[in-house]
Amino acid sequence: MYFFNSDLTLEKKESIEYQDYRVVPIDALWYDDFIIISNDNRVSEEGILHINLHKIDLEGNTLATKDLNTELKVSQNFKMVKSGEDFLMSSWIHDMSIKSQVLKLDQDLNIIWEYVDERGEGFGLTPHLITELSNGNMILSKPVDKSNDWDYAVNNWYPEPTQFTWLDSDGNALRESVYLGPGGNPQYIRDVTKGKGDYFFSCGSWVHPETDAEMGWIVKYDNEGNKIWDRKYRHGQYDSDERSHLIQQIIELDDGSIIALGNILIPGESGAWLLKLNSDGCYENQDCGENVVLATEDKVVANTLLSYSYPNPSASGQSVTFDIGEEQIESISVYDMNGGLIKKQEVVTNKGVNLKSGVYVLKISTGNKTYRVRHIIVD
Amino acid sequence: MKKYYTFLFIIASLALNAQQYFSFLIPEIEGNDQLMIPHGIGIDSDNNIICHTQISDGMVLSKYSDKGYLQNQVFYEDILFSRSVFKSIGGNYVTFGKEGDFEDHRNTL
Repeated sequence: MYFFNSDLTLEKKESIEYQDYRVVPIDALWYDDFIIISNDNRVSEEGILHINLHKIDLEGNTLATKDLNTELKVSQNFKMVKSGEDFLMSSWIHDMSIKSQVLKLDQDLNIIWEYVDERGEGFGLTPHLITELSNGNMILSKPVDKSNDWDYAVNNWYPEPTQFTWLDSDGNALRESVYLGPGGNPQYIRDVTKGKGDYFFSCGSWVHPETDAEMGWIVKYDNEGNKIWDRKYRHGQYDSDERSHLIQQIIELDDGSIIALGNILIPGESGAWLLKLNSDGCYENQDCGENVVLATEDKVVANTLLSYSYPNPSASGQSVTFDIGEEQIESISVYDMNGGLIKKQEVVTNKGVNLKSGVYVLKISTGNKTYRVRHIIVD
Repeated sequence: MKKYYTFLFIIASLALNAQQYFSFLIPEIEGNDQLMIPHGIGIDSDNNIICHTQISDGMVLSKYSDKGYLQNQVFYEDILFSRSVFKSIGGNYVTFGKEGDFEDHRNTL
């Protein structure tokens, strides 16, 4: 666990040491006095994935642990959500085929019930996601197995069709709904999220069935799965079919507005995309219509002017001091605004880089951290 | 006791504009072409937005106001934070992740 001050500086950390081959942190649930974390754990280079759960107090002390593979054939964990005093975990298991699984566990990591969809799924590329609804039922999102449908697998292999399964509070399947659009499945769901009212959200990307162009995509449903609104999003600066857009996670605020984190990807580049939308999924307070592409331009030019250096701006030839407390600077790399490295200087004090006039990005390396600062030199 | 640096802020004139909704790429301080991969977001009690984003050799933490204005941005080398984001405790934050080689070998959670 990492503890940060309000300015995001690291205050302390508490660690769990693993001796196994590979450990990947997946998800965490935060309670008042402890957290429950899940990780995938490959015990050897050839070994299967285990899921480990840890219950840890806020001082980093382990209160309970569980290796789910000692009881179940668990393979990959995707998400945990709270369910009253207990919690839910969605994963897939590899048991001759890839099958979707939901576990309900108590705070001592005991399994209360297990749900497994025995029908399996195809390729294991799509997350299996769980969220709880306001009426106590649950939504499981998983792909439908189309691996034996040769025409589909050849022509529409990605994404696999999405299936929502409604579960009751005891883990019994109530009903399900498959979303399959004309010409194939256009929807890749990256998350399902409980709303603050009688509704829930899914987000991910919408894939054009003919061009394979991917747009960020959010849908708001009522608890029965009826769509309240369904919108696609692109960043205006990257509004082309070559730029894949994905909405990865959303958070609904108390006033109903939505914070979304996404990704824009083209070969060799990637951008983290932050959005805030109103409760209708629009940027403005009027209805933005159905299936519209939004954001014709950046709505906010984000302020990136942080400073660890002073004076800033400074005069050419003037010494610049870097305010990083008692840490010792080991090197300073100077970049132009296009990211080109101008010089790298090993230093033994916290002062002393001379630059000509211009705007620079300075990468300041200490023994423990790397800081970056935009610095202006004037004549 | 380790003493930490302090941040100074320069507030752009845009901050006076009461923009409520937004859409932008989280800028990389260094301005290079490293891949910037989103990991997760969290909200604190003041509706500040905390973003985890990964670049090739570590994580960038960014803190934005609910109007979309950058409050802080810090890079941590050789740390991979999980998808799940911060718990806010009295204005501070706690998260978890791992250190070391991201792809293989022994790890620390």
